[in-house]
Amino acid sequence: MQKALAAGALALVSAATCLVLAPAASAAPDACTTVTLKTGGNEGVGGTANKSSTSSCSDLNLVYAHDAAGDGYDAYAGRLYHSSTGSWKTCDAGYIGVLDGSYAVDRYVLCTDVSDGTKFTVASKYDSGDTVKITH
Amino acid sequence: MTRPAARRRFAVRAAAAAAVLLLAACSAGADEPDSAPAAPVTPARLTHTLPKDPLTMVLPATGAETRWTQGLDVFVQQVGRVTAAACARDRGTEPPAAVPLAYIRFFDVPDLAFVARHGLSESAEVPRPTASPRPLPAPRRAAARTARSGSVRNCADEGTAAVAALRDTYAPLQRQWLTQVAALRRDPAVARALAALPGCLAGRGVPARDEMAFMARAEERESTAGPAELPAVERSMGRTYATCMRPVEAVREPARLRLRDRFLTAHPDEAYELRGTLVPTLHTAERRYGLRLSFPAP
Repeated sequence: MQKALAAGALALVSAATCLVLAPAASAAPDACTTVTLKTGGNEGVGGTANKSSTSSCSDLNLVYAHDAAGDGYDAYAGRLYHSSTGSWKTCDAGYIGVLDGSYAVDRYVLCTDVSDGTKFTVASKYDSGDTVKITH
Repeated sequence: MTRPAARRRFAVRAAAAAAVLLLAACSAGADEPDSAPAAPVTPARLTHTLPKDPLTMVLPATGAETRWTQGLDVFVQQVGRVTAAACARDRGTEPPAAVPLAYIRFFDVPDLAFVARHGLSESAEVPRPTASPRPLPAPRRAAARTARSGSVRNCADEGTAAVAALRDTYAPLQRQWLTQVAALRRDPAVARALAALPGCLAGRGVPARDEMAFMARAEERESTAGPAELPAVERSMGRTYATCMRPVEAVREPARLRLRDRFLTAHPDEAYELRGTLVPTLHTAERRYGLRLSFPAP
């Protein structure tokens, strides 16, 4: 998702006026950022990253997966740290089964609308230590 | 979403979503059962009841059966954490840092009854081990802070090895099963049922081109909800998802059950072995690590 547009839509909703809306032109977005992570389990804090505050993207897209055990398949779920409550929350999609490989942005969206600076991790159902790339 | 086309698509969708919300705000009294405030519900709970057939934990075919799978997933990870913590305690170091465990549902086998009641991201709280490692005394805690990171790495490895020893008894079969379950996305009957999903979602005020896009819409709304209204928003989105996915599951669940019958026929030796050994192995682990198998329940 492109952040400026989402913010604009929200501002319109918050205003709660009953005007007819038209899509607004958007500023050219910056490039998204990709981070390589080792997946969760016993990997601890080494498997976390922070949502970029400069990227124009606000989703966590899984764009690459490599299963550590060499089985070619694992299931991945995004998890976000909510600093306001001091707790981790699993994103709505839950575990998504993914074969080893590279994927386009939007194919496997682990989490959506992640706030800037939010700490996140990726849980893998089987082997912790899988390599994943997250575009955000 | 990053590509220019996707951005333009989002621009239209964002404006459309805003328009839908504004229209909803401007049409008080409209019949919109899934977006009505959801009544508070009691939190999800835990059960300890095992399935009649132990293989159900490993090869779930229905959303309700995945509750056993989620409990098994958490249990084996708890074994790893208890092992790593005990290792660290023995060495006088802090246990490896780790993100708290959670029961995580499966995108390809949605538990609609659970989601309808609690939303898409809520579940029961993972219980703490009954025999958690003793805390370090203060002097050793201070020493632990300066301990070499290699010790932590070794204890993390011990935990990983304990997980593997338990999980390797069933994971190869389960991977094959879940790979086949994921492939049902391409089944023509399932694809036809999924094709009707956008219409249902739009009719309930959540425009989304597919299931993944719905997750995006749900998280957008959840991320903008205030703390007080968040539980109701989560449950509302959960009810919308469950309502619109029921026709899909009406097709996909019988397909999974038939697929499992064929899968078991194709893997008779592994199925026989697991039926005889899985539960005794888990009970042994419960005693050894001071854990109890627990399953989320709505």
